[in-house]
Amino acid sequence: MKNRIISRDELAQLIDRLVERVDVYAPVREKNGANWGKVGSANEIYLEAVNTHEPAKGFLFPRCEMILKFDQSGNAVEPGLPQEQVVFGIRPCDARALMVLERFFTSEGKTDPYVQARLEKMTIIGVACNRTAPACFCLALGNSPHSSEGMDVLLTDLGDVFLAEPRSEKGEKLIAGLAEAEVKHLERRTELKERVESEITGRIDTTRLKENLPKMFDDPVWERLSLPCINCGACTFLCPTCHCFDVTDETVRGNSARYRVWDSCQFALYSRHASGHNPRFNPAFRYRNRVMDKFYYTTEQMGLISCVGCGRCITVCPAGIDIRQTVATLLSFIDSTER
Amino acid sequence: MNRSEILRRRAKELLSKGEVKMVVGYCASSQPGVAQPFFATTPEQAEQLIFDATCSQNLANFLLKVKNIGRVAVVAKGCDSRSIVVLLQENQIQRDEVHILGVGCEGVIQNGERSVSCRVCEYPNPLIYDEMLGEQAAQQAADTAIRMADEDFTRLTPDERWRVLSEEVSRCIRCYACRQVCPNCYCPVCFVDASMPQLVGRTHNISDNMVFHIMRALHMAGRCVECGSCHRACPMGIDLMRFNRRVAKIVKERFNAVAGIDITTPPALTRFSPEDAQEFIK
Amino acid sequence: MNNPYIPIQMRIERVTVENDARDLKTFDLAFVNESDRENFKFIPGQFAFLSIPGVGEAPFGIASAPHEPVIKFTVKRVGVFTTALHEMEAGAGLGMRGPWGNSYPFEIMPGRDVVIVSGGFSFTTLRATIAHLLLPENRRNLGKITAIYGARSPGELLYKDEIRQWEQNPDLHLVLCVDRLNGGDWPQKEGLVPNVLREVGPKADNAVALVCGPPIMIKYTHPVLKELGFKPDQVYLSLENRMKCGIGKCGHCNIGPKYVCKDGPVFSYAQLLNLPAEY
Repeated sequence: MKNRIISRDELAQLIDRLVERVDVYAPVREKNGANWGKVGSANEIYLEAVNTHEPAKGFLFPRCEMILKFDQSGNAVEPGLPQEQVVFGIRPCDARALMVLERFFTSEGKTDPYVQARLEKMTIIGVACNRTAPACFCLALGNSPHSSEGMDVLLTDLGDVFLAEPRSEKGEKLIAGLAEAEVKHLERRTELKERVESEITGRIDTTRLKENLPKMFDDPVWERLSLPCINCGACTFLCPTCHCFDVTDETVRGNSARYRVWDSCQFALYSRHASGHNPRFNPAFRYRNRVMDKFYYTTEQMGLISCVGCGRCITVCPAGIDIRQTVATLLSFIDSTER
Repeated sequence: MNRSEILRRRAKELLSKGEVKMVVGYCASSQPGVAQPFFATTPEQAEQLIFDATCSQNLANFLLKVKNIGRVAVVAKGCDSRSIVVLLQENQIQRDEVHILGVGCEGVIQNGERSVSCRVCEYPNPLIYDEMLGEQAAQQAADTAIRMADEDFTRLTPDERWRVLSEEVSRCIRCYACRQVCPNCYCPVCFVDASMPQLVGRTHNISDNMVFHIMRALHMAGRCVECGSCHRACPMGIDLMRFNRRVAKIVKERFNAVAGIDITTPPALTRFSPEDAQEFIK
Repeated sequence: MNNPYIPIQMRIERVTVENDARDLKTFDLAFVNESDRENFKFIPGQFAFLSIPGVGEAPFGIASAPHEPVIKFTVKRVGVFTTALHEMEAGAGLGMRGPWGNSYPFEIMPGRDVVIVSGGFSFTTLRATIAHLLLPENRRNLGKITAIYGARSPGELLYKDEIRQWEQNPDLHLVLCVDRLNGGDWPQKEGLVPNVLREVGPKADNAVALVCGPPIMIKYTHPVLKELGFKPDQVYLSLENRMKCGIGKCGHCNIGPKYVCKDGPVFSYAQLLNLPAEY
């Protein structure tokens, strides 16, 4: 696949052409930064923020989705197929998260037909990060602000032009016909990549997580780590890879439908049995569940850490809890006991 | 000495003398401008305590969580102390279980701006405390723009008000950060989680979002101390104080009551007086 | 594409009230479409979701054995869904999704004794198991079958007609027990399941134990099995956890990295020792 370059004008034209055919979502200006919005033209796109407030997971896994309608005889009817859409301007951490969600929903065990259908109708155009925010830590987990995982095309802003690297047939087709990239463009990209990567110095030794986190499961340190946690769902709902959902039926004027809505393992009733027994009645257990799932359970289930280092849970937590500190504390406890 | 220094000194004394098992306060977090609730149980840990404009959360929220630890000290700004009054009035905590470290507060600063609740704060100093840590805070003039916006709202028709409020809550993702951060939302099963009967739908239907926010505001009528923690906790930037200020204003006008300023006067909606306004009962 | 969220259409053939409190009912279901019946292959231990449009869904262990003509579920009325289900009568339609989960380890049973320990209304999938094991083609490959099934009182025992017959069946040694006898002409043992298990004392040598009951019963049964000499890899438990999808996507039923709906509900005790006690 050929790497190409695209000028700002050419990019604007490409977007405007897409907007005529399909729904295009991109970061748009919002009070304190940027968030996803449907754009009517390229000039609405705002790439100056390090990242969008909300992650891109809603494009694959909406906050609220009707999964079945019921007819008058009670038979289940599937909703119509989703529309084609383009997700433009997604950052590498969020695109990796889409890849994680794709693995979880479509490749592990049963295939979720709703996520599968959205994926098939989606084109993902990412933009590399040339700067980071204080809470960013993709590199700490071995990911990169210039990664193209989960994208059809990765764009990198080289200053005068964008480098466009296709990663799929869909992506290749999209940028066919543009000028090919030259060595100087790739060199400039390497320069930018190295500079931005030097902004994140913290590292989490991910090789030690799978073996050591299970040892910490019953450790009383969780009571202390979870004290400031108020068990809301802010971290889980703003997390690009959290995917738990509730299923709820509603009947409006005689018409019934079944929906799935985001749910959170932080909520008290999340794990409550019909009998009233609740294995995670203790709020510390619920806090523990999220950390363990992100950094250990998914390595068992899918062979990958599902935290992508976007930092949203850190900035959005009403109690200022930093998941990096939690993991560092756990690993240091293990160090101290092993010594 | 500044408030942080006094706090650290007193916290260390209280802990080393065993007068309290824990000091509930704030410490710096990994993010500049953001403090974290902190639970010091040793004099060494007390070194990390701070008090400044980054201290956003209402610490009364944690009093029920740490109930079983024993006697605790808690740092309380004006609004936090009012929450403690309401919790005492509602028998959720006992006075002798808590040692209140009062602090004057000039307002919480979030994202470089003074929080909306603090811009109209009328109680910058604690109304109940065992000791004051440092200087009283000066009363600052209320933000007239907010006052005027509230006045404008009262001139809207019900349909217009519905539109304004539902636009505000259309962003709600039902994470319940607002509810969880509030010291006075302590129901074991919240009305939104009830299933028999189910009172609120779980989708993001605007009706359900409105029911949640309006009902929560009404459940807080006469109890909300307008600390603004919910507003600052909301990850979607919903102007929750609009709802809370409106309800508090109605309680003040109708019942001449303000939450948490007088421990001898029970919350407005828990008492009945024959003099209460009732012209709306037709 | 196969959509695992679409329920199979079923019809209630029969409703049986199981207890005096009338909050336990057994529903015998038949398939509306013959092709669905042919495609529905399950092994005892598996569960399915029952679905009522506009009301919701809930998971239940399949109480019938594969050779039986109906799909049987025993349901306790505890909440929104089960109340709506309890109000339905024979002839009514509802949906079913499944079979999901793994099954009891039938593949390791040939040539061995089987010990079944169950309490309360968790007996459902073990009824299916016993019915399945008693089929001549299965029974002849097994050693001794011992079953201990207890309930709070005689009125709370499920499938009374069947278990009375099984008590007399020489192919299995069924011991029924109740926490408290209340007179009547059907003399079960009085005692809690773990204590009766200890008393009956089945041999652990070359045996497989299947345990299904409320968390408290399981907690007290483990030490007894250990006393009797059962190793963790000889003991299998059927767990439950809160479920919403049944296919390992919604996240609710996780025990550490495992999902009860997908990796369970049957787990060996050896497996559980390596998992957090979140069940």
